[in-house]
Amino acid sequence: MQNEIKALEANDTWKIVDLPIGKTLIGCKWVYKIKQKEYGNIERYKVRLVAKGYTQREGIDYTDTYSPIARIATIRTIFAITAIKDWHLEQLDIDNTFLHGDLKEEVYMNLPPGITKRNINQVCRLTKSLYGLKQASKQWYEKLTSFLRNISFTQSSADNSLFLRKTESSFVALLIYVDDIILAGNCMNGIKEIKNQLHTTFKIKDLGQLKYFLGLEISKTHEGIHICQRKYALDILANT
Amino acid sequence: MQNLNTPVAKRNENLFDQTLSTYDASNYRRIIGQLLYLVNTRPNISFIVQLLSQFVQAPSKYHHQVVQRILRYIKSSLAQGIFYPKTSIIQLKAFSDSNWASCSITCYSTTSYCIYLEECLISWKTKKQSTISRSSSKAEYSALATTCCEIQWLIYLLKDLCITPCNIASLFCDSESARHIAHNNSFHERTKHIEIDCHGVREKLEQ
Repeated sequence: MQNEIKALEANDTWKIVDLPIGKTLIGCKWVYKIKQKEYGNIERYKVRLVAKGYTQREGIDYTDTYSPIARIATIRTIFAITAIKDWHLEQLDIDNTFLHGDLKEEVYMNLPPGITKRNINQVCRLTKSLYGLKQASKQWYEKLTSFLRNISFTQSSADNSLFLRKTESSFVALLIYVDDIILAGNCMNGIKEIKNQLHTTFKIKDLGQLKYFLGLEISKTHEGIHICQRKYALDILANT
Repeated sequence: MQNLNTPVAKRNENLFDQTLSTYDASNYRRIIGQLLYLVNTRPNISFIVQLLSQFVQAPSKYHHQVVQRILRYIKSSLAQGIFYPKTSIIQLKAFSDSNWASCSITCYSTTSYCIYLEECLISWKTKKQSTISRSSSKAEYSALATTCCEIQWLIYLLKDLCITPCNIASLFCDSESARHIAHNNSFHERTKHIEIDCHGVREKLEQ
């Protein structure tokens, strides 16, 4: 939890200020979670500070909340083309995704439990978005898409979460599913270059070849790609 | 649980029996929700899951039995999914079908399609139509229209991905009359206004 507070402070998520008169506060709390790998064994323990977004009021604390995600048919089409053309298929994950989004609105939040107040009026003025805020996913999507446009990606009109970059030597398709990103392309160097570019702005976790995505298990060989939902099916059976 | 080779029995008339009393709706809804996501790699349960999902309002014990049967089938085929082989040619092939007045409560028809990119099954759907069809041709034609929209979308998507199919998309349909309707209006075949055209065509036919 202390690490998380440090990460949040390093990220300039908030400024500690006295609450101005006439402004309202939103709450926050810590959430603890156990992350699992594809076969269900424990990967790590996770802690996350979340804002109580349900106390936000529309028009004051947030305006728009919409953010698109990929259609499953787009995902399958990418897999099919990757198989047909024997492309590379890589996956990466952005650390603390929603914390990257910039916040336009003036939002005040209670100090998180674990930080001691020096005086009773002290609160956090949020400058970056936080998990639980209504606009968190939209702010993140905007941040990422504007970054991708800057590094000469074009957005697909068929699916707004698909981005493409064509150079003389390589073609790379990048698919966004909130914080999970798939890269498919004909040239490994092109993919690596994009990973590096992403890493300089956001901290990314390179997951290498795509194996597990949205509950889909993907196995790729030179003959083709097989996708199934074995673990998901087992989970359904276990709960009944 | 005994393992099974098929997800659903051939005859399921009791699904539409509204006299049966509601039983454990919340559990039913949870499992249907989970199965809907499982359809992402299992087109073969798409039809029965969409059919069962029409009864989440008031499921009977019978509906639970059908769900149990699907689960038993899944248990016997856990790692089953889709395989995308490496190929040299790329062409879109779509198969469209409809089940006329399949819902015995509302008499609505059901649309189904599946679209392949060469040997790779990439898109499929089973859905109850939103309007009533007085003839089976109308139901078939509606299904064709839905399929065309999806093909058009996939063509746009492939274009964005810099993939040029080797051949124009083929659309397969097992209804002679729907094909005739389509050929009469061949200029409109790949437009989104197909539904409206269909009404025009039907009016002429009824005259």
